[in-house]
Amino acid sequence: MDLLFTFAPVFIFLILGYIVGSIVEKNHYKSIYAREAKLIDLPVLTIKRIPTDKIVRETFLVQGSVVISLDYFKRFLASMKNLIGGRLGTYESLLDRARREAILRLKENATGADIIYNLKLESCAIGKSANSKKQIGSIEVFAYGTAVKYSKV
Amino acid sequence: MDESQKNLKEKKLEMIQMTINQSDEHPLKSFVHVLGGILVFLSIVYCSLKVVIDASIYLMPDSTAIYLTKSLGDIIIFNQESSEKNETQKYVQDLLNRLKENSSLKNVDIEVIIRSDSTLNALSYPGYKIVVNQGLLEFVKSENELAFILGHELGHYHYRHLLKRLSSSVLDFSVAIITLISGVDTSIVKTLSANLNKQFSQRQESESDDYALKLVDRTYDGNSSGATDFFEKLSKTEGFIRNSLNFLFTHPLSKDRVSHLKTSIEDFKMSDKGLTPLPKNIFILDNISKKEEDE
Repeated sequence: MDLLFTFAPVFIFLILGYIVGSIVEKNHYKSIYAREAKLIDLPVLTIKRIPTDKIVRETFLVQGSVVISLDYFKRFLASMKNLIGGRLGTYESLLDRARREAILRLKENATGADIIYNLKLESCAIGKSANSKKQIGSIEVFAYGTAVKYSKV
Repeated sequence: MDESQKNLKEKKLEMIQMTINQSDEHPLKSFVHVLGGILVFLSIVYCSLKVVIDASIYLMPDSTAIYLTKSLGDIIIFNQESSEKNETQKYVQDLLNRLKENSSLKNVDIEVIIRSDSTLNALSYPGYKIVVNQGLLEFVKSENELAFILGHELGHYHYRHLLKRLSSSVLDFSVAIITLISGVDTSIVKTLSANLNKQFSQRQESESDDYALKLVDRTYDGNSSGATDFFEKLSKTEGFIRNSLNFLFTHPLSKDRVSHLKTSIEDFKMSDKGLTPLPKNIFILDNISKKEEDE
């Protein structure tokens, strides 16, 4: 009885975190798949120098950033995993979503561009626990690159 | 668009749905694995440490236990000054000494300290110092009743409860160290151990009750009367919350303690030969507070 009394809040948060977190993640991936399919014709490359085989009409900076937070379940699992090591699957999906979302926003910003060069990704932890070694509360991923419009011949 | 370009695009579309950057293990599965493993490991470590420390406390000779309890009193900062040696203190000290003669602590010097505090409480401190609150002295109605309370505190010394309690705080300390090193949120483990400690504490209290009962019976030549008086009175002050949330407290319910003592009295066939009255006017608070004012 007393154990139940003590752990009830933790259990409730864990269950709530898992259910809501899963739904949010599923929906996010759904939207990522749809938008990536829509924007598949706009290539994003990491090469720094713009090739000279085509005539460049216009270049401009494009950027996209996103902040995503962990749910209680994921944080709990990750803090447990910190003890024994191993792959942090829950953080992997978090970072994967953040990176793809940032690139998608960058692509959505690049209206009219034919190609994006020199893509760079920055990520950092933000929030109360960001600077402590212990945990990652939420992360920001920032993507930026050079959008290029070719002149149509 | 020619055929190869079409294929390439299809391939790209396919790749969108692939989750290369993720482990394919289900989070719930890894949750069960990790949490189960950690809990099993921690409980093994905790239990074995507890068993080793408790066994060594249990098995150590009396002289070592007495030495440890005494030196603990020197280590732990003890903010209770020895109280004035007035009539009240002398009376309680004499009563304690009489009880001590019949116990295993015959050769130990135990000091009684009267604290001008109105709460109903008596405490046994490391260094063999028993603190009795003024409020408790005013609450008791007979010498037997007071003797039982003092006997209870002696029971804590006899069963080395102070050392055992210290051992569990050492364990809590090690859990805290694990927390610091690993960064795991072990607040759960701490709550768990605190709760366990409360259960241990309740057991220790009944152990001491039994000890006090036997001690009082021996000291008063086979007279156990007055042993249940204190808790009977105390149980009337315990409300609904205290009754329903008993597991949150370090002491058992007074009601339960009374019934436990009554069964023990019946089991040991102890007899009730009447109460010894308290010396008159010795516990009136005015005596002490007046003296304090004079100072």
